[in-house]
Amino acid sequence: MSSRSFRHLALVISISMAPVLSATSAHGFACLKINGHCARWTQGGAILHSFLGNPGVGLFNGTLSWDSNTVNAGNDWNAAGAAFHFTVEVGGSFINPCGPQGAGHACPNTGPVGDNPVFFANNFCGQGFGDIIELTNNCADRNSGAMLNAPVFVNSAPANASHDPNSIMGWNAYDGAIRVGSDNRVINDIHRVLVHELGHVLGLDHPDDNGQMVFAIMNSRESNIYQLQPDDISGLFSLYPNSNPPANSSGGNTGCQIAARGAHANPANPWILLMPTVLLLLRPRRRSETGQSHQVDALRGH
Amino acid sequence: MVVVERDFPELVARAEQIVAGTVTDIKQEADAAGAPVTLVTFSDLTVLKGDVGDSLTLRFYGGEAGEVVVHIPDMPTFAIGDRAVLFVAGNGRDVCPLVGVWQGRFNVRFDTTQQADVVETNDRVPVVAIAGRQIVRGGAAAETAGAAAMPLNAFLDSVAGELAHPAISAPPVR
Repeated sequence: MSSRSFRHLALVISISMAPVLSATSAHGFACLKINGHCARWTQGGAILHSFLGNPGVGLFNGTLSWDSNTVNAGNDWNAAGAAFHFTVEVGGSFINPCGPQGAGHACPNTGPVGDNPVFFANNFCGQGFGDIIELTNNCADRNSGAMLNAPVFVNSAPANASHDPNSIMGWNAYDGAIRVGSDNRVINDIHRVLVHELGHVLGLDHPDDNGQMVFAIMNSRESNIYQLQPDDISGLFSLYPNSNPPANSSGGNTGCQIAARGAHANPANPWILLMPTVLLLLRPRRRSETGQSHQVDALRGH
Repeated sequence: MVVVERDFPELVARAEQIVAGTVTDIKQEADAAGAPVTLVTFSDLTVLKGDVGDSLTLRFYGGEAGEVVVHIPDMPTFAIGDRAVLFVAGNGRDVCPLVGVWQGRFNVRFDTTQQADVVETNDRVPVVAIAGRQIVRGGAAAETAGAAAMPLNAFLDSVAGELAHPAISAPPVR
């Protein structure tokens, strides 16, 4: 299905369901707050440079490189159709984000404005990761919340790493439930973790840290959820609405929405859950399997 | 941020200090690289593990630096007067000085129904029990819906019990 017909169907469904949906305003998603503002990109997108490289063996999900999973994670968000897109470039000139502000750095330890590397590291700019598996260091303007850059640090030796042969530095890539190795320790799935971190890059926070109880890959706890959920898509559209928002987001919003603390998704209305699922199933989906250097911009069909 | 999930015995075993206290000071500084760090001082301490003086200052990465903000999602934040039980590890060494990042911070509040201090998780969900290795959170699940939050004294007793009879051995010091 072309993205055009996809959008048309989405619009038709959203119109037909409008009376039903207007009766429900449950949301779980949350945005990153900077002095009361939702942090977000003002240019409608961000360019990521993936320097994760190649593990030397095929990964469980059929990809041949870690970078392919960065590409796919970007594609997952792009395919939702919001007015935001990730462009993922594999390789290139690596600029170490660690270092003081100045010399083009947007913030201390974030690197130059607009430079968003995704890379393995065994520490965070000289500080230990502790129990952190992966983190995004968001840099934003303190007055407006405008995002300046957001490097993603992937721990090359996570504390929970399995020593199983299928665990490559504690990582692999796969769909489905969290896997453990023969030593009963975790084999982290880099794809779902990257989807989560890219959610932070674009400006989303954790719904479950904001009093919400929803299914979301943006929840703070890694789980068997391995792909975007309707609530994640709603959060994306709340930050970057377009003319055809998904039916369970509030069209026309230009800011973020934070549900009242303690609000829950309303299971009594099946459409609020069903609609984004339909959209997710129908969305254009492209998977990188080769690990070749390329750019991704699913919405523009490059 | 994605973190390693820690159960109750792991929180206790991996902590270098375990304290209950009140936030009495918060200030920001720049580290050697000019990056903002937030220093949170806890006083009125009850010390359950480790060598701690009258107060304990924890160093969290992030904060404001001129016209910009450096923000790592998930980094616990505090306000003056907050009370908490903290499982501390890597203070001054790691990005976050708590075991399991937010998992190592439990809020303490006064519950008017119980007329006692009770314990909540970092995201302010009541802790209703320590069951085996698990920290049982209150919430929508039928078995925990409406369950009373765990009193602070009972929680601290559980920590003391785990320290006396650990389910797991402490990890090697990094």
